[in-house]
Amino acid sequence: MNEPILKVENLNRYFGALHATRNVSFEIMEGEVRAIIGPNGAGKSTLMDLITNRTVPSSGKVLFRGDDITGLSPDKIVHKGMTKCFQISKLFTSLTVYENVQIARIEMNKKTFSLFPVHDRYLKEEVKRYLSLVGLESKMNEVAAYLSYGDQRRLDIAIALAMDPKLLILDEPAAGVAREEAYTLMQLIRKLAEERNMTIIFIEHDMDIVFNYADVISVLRDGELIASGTPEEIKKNQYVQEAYLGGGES
Amino acid sequence: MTVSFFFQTLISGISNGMVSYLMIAGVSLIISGMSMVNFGQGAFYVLGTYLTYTIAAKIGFVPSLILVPILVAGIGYFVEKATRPLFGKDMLYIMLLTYGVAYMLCDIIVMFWGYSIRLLSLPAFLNGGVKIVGIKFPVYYIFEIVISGITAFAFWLMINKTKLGMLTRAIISDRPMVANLGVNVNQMFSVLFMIGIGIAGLGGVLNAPVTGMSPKEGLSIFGNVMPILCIGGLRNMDGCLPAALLVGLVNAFGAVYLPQYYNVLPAALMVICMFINPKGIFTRREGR
Amino acid sequence: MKAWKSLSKIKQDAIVGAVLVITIFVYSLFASDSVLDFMSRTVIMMLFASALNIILGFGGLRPLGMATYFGMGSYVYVIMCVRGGLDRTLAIAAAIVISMAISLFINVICLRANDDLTFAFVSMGINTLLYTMVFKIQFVGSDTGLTGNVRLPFASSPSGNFYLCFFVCAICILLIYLFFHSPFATVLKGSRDNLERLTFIGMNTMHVRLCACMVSSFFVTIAGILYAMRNMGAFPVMFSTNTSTEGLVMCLIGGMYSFFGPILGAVIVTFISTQLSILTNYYQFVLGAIIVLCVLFLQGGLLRDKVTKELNEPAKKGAVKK
Repeated sequence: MNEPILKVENLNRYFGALHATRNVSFEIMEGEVRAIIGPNGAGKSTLMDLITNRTVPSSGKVLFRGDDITGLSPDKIVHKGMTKCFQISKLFTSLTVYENVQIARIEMNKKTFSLFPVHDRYLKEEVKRYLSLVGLESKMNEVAAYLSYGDQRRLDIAIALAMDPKLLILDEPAAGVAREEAYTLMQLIRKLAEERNMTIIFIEHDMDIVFNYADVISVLRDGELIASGTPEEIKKNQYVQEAYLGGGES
Repeated sequence: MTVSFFFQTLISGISNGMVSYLMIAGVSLIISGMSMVNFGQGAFYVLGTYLTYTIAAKIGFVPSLILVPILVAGIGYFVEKATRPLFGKDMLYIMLLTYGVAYMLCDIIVMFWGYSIRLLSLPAFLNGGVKIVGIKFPVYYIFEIVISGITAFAFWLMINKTKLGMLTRAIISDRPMVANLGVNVNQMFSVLFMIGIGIAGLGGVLNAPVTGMSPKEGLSIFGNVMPILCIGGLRNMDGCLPAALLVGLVNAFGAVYLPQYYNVLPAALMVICMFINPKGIFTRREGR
Repeated sequence: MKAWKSLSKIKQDAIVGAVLVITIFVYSLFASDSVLDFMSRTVIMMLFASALNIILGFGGLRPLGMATYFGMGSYVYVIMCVRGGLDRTLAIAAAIVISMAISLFINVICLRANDDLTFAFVSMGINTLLYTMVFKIQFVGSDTGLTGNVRLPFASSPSGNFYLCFFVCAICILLIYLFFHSPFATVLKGSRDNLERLTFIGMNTMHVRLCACMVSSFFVTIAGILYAMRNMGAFPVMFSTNTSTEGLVMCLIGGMYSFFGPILGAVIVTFISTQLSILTNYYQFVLGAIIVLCVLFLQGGLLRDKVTKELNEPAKKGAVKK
């Protein structure tokens, strides 16, 4: 249990002349809830894209559960146990809530290329279970596009959970959602993380959420990792205060 | 193959490529700038050719070079208006709409000009050959290369150096933003579309004295030059010219060595290029 | 009406399907040979359009060159019979196997870039390529095509051939219906809505699309073989881009997002195109005008449903439930 679940070594990414990610290295232990914060343009989303290999690193390594996954295609990374929720919910808009999660379970059950109708009672039970984790079971037959934004976020998370990930990355889970709802969402995520022994990385701008729900906070500025530590340590960190919190208590 | 024959084929290939470029440049502009595919481009090209037959007989060939593209662009304006309700919807609808317009245009050409294939006689100064470095070249090929080259250059100037071009490039990267800046995007689209169609019309004019064209070819001609788009890269306007030249050369030399099958060479080339680099071999490969 | 709505979707579809089959069957009993010929063509086009809709409506791609597989089915079958001298059943098997092998190759090329627009263009380009080639190659009969007695021995009369076509098409369309209720079909619909999300569910999207294309090509090949039987030969028009476009228009008019849409569209378009060529010389103009009008006013087709409305007029983010 003392091997880090995710280890990032000297990760660099250039976009032409722009050095978007500068020599970032860090480790995350299993079961941790890590927040990544930083001013706009600090390169948080880019860093997550590099870890999930949505973007290829210019140099550096990403190690997940001991395996070098640098450059591995995103779909294979998912099967290793890492998945991501995007800033803007990427749902299957014309499908029902049920079908959205069903797709994930179809893949996990390796039935993707099954071309004939399958009597899927077991599948239905599985899907219902994941939907009930996020509280969407009652809305099973609604078309995803007509859900409220908060429910769409929940569905997004349900789809991600349906892949039984060991590491779940959330890009601004509270964005666009009302305060109350955001807290409920984060509480749910934390609870699920504990129950299922998941590690969570989330990017967030809302400092209340970050300080209340994260075990460890990493701070990025201009593509560089300038500090990592517990919420108390970060609050006191001078560089962070300068860069981000404006030199005082937030 | 003798040296002189080689150069003659070379020039023929380049002029062929340049005229194809004129047709395709418009499509590429419309794809990149408006995210629309205009399958009717070939039909406008043929329309340009046929308009030239009639108009050049009245006012001469060289003035037609200017008048016909304007006329064709004018018709393009109405077509673009028809696509308005389809903005933002599935790309397929616009594809089918322009396809339907192409069908209609083909038969309209038949209605006015009939089926007989015509040829245009050239003004005297464009006839005959000219000797360069001891090799005889048809003057008209050189003329085609010059006119296409000027147009390509003007096009490049427009895109890179004028305000219109700058707005075009902005729209290509971020349309909603440009709209927010108060630019009348709709008007711009009309202008872009007309330019794209007008260039194709110019290609048709240049083509009039050279190839007899049947009205029904409006559709198949598009299919023949479409490989150029794929080779150059669908979203890459800069890739059009090298791709067009490549295909023109392949066509010219192919016609010599494989006379029966030279028609299929562009598409075969496209298949090969798809294997090498699916995004078009002239697209700059950047890190993902 | 209420009783109808209370039935499950599957039961509704089954009833509509049964009514359709029975109607066609009964009508055929009283039809003359030339009408049977027309009905053969319609039924084959129903299969063609339904198969095309697998990639179009459900897969979210734009297959502009479906006639490639249609023509391939016809030509390979006729070549096997006429030039290869194979026995009919063997020829059918050979035609399917060879066509599928070539389709695999073609589909891989089209999907290399895994990009909608490229797929559309390359599939159209290959269609044009094959169409042009077929006109020139002596082996396949150049512009007159290949003729021969390629009908099955027990189905050589016009009515016999019709019933064979009808039977095979009905079975195939039923298979397509079952296919639409498979797990793969749900994944395919997902790929239409949000391709990238599928990658993050762990799927190789190119493989998913390739599989859909192969299923589609399979049924189109069968349609091609049937068509060769009906026409007693293979002709270049089967490869033509006109045929591809007709297929697209069938799906467009009938409704891309419903199962019976392409079937309805096939009936309408086949009817119009056969009548049109009798009525006027400017058949292309009218067809073009119909396409333009349909696209402008009939988006989503005649058989629309919630999904269509959603895909055509996407609900705004965060909209309250309807």
